[in-house]
Amino acid sequence: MDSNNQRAANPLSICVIGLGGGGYHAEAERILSAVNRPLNLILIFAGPDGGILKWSGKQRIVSSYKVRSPMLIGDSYLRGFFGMINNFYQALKILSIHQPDLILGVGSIQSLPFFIAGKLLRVRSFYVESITRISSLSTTGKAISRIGLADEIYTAQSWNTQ
Amino acid sequence: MIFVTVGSFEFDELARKMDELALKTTEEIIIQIANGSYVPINCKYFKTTNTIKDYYEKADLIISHGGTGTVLEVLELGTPLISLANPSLKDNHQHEFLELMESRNFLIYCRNLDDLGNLILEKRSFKTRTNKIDFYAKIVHDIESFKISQSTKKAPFHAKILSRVPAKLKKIQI
Repeated sequence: MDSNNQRAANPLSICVIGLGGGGYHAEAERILSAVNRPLNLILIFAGPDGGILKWSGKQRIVSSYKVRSPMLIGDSYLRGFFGMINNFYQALKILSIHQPDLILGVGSIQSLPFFIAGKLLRVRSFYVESITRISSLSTTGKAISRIGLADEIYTAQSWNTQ
Repeated sequence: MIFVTVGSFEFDELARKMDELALKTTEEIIIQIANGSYVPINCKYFKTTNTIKDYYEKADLIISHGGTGTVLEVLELGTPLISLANPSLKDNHQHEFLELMESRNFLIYCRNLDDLGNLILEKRSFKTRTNKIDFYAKIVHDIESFKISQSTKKAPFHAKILSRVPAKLKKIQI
């Protein structure tokens, strides 16, 4: 079986973090819409009430979950800390149930608990910094970079020279 | 029609300026104000909508904040776009993004609200670059060539235990 046939028979399973209708969501949709191979998606929506619950991509959606983002505007650090722990347990459960091949986090702070859980479960992870971050990483990007949580980090530098 | 959008976060300065400019033109202006406290009195407005694309499609010119979701969506439609960075957002990161987009002729970046009226007049001669925006070529390539390793596909022994962690999950239908 050649590699193209193998890919068609074996869809890549991706857990997508950072959804909810904003800029990160738009970036995730654009990335995955451009991918030319079968995908099975597990979508994680965040925001005060999951944010805007929509997905315009054409790939197969295996499951979708709504969680509260660990840190929303106006949250105290204490709330953020407990939110992060709660998200970590949710991430462990979702990742162990679906066992995706890859976790794709776009910009969102929610990538942190999912990437930590992914490390425990040996799931590879790609972090995409928002394209609005031209000269420096966001706080989330810096944390992920310093701790070494992601297998690959894509920054504006990846496309800035095009 | 000129459509003005501020995205998810309030941007009262833009809404106020466009409301002032509405007195100087016969062109219809519609403003999406999100949760802004300024309420336009000279033109139509609304807070949010799930059908914002309809407004993008009907507009001859769009004036927006510098959020990626809005900017990328409008550019794909090819409607002329004037964008402003919302200075209240963290690190003022929209500024850098818009500078870069302007340097590639994707849009007009309005750095000063006082210049907005003149830029709207100039937009008639502005040709938006509408070719496919290919910022994500590297990650798209990496996902396409991602090899599913059978060894990593096999769940580690602790996955079964971890799947029983007491976490509440809210499953939804999209």
